[in-house]
Amino acid sequence: MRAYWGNCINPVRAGVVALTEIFVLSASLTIGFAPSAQALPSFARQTGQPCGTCHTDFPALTPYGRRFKLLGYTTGGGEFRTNPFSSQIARDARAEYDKMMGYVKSLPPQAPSSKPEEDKDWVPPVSMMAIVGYTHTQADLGTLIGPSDPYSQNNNVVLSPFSAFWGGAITDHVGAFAQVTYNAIGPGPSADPFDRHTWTWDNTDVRYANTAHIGPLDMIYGITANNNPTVQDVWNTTPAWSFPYAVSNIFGPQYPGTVMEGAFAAHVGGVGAYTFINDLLYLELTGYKTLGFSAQNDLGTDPFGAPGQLGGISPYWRVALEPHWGRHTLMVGAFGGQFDVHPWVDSSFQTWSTAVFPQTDRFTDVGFDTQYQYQGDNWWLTLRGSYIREYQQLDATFANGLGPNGPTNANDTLNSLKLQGSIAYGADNRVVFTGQYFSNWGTADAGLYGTDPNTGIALTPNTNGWTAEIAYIPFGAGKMIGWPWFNARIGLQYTYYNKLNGTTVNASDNNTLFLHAWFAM
Amino acid sequence: MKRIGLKLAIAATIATLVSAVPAGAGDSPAVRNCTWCHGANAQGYTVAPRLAGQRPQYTLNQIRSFHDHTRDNPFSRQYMWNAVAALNPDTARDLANYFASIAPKPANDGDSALAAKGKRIFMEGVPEANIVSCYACHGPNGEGIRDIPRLGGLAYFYVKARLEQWNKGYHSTAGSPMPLVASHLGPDEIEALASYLSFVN
Repeated sequence: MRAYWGNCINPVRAGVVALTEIFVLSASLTIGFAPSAQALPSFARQTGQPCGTCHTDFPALTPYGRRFKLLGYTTGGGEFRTNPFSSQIARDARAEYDKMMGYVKSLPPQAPSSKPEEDKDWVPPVSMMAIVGYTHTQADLGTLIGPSDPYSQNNNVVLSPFSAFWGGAITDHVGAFAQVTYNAIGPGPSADPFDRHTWTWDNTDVRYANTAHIGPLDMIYGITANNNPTVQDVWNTTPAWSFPYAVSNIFGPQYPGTVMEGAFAAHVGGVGAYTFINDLLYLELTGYKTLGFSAQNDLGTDPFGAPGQLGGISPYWRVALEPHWGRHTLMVGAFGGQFDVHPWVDSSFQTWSTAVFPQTDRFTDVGFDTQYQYQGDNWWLTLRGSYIREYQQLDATFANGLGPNGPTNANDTLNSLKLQGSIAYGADNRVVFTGQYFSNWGTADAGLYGTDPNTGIALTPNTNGWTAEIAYIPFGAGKMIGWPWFNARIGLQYTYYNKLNGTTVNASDNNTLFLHAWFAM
Repeated sequence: MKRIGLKLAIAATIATLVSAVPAGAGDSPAVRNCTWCHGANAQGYTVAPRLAGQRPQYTLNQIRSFHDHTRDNPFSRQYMWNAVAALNPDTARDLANYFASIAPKPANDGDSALAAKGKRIFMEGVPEANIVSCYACHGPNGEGIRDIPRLGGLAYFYVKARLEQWNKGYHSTAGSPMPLVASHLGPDEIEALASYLSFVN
């Protein structure tokens, strides 16, 4: 849903648009790629556990939700088999069971649900979700983005996104969370011919996971193949799964974000290895590679939605320490990546070229994050903080004079800070209050951000504000209607912009009220 | 060259991780369904108690009481009722035996200043307050026997919560003497016992 970019980016000369896009990521992440509210009924079917075992909110994870993901989405325990394949262990168990039939017959009859694993039914772990949302902006869309067709100027109700998932085990050690999403087309015209996809592949994370015990080390270890740096992460402090989990599908103001915050979501493929040692230390190293132009387009992703193509393999690393005691868990972590980006020569495709410049811009991101979580008898308190600092070495941009507003600096920095508190109260009929302060700031750069029309001084990317949300989840801990097949979440979200793209003037015109109902089945 | 170096580094990391354990190593799916919440090697994780080293008969009894909904404290209702609902009795027995065979590690997460007091209550009880010694049934190191659970080294949070719950009217296995035994324990005694037991090896 990046269509309204066409309204924001003037049809400037070839090569310029691509660079602009580097710096308008935050909004596109949440709107274009990851309307990421999901707790999957298929997970509940597989595990026999209600949603509240793994989620404080959707998709925010509890300690058990984190371990479920680290174990490769493979753990079971429900009334259904986890996968259609017979494992050797299950075959052995069955053989022993058959041998003991004479003995078993002398025992009291078992409950029908207490079948051996082999006799359970298998249901493909497929889920679906739909969000219907009402969006109200402080100023009309006409003021904010120009033409709003096919939508009204304000107060729009749209059923979008709609997603289908594979969520669960494939074998005893391989599982997947894979999502395809339908997004309604955005308001206004678009110059980019690849921008009108409605169906796209979305968050995808396929894992192999196992456990090992080596001396004093008890480990979960595994391999992840995924399509977005941090989509594999289990703490909701890193960009892919950070708050807000659902955002307006009609409007979100655009402001510069770091590359880590979704610039290459669904534009890349990555493979990495991870381990979680003694339930304490998490380590991961993953490498990402750009998918080809046609491959991206075939998957429903607009290649020009990314700032360019990555050169070689971009490393992503992650370290986290999570001590736990009783009802408390505390995580202190760091993560980062380095992305060498060849900008598009003509991202508006006016010259029918999909070429990129030979030079690269290098983005080095370093993030620090922390989370504290407390589990009450029927409530959760979660505090989160994340800070990402990006070092931009804009060689390609600088050498080719690619800034959307003229020459840029050779080097810039960009920072992103999020501080969040959330209380989920209640088991069933759960109500979740979440508040978040966000702030992005960085070097003033006339080429990238333009100049103040009155003073002529170079503008900054500085943007900050607040988001508050109240959500209602009818089935948190108990059995949902038609267990285990259905859940819902109703949320009322308000985002206040104090400063947007370096200025407080008219920033609050972008304030957005978003009422949404989310259904999963 | 740099790119090749990076590829090699990633490949080497994966290879090291994968080859660090022999093929086929790792826990069975049934075990992982438990260690999912009870922590790596079942040593306990957040509010989920350690299963490692627990008396198999006790573990099996508890599984049965979760299944029959007799053990009804909040986290049992929330997690364990669902977790054992579809658990086959043979698998339950195998799991209880398997976890009993793992060497337990002490949680060491109590208040060490209270350990001495806790040890005194554990070993001698408080006769004037009608508190019997825990040692009599649970053994000198809280190691348990038959269906009497091992307490030594369990997490402070868990022992404290369990001792408090006896007084709050929650149930466990039928015929347990604990509601009566624990009814004389005050908050200070519970703090001390839970602290002491977390350090017992």
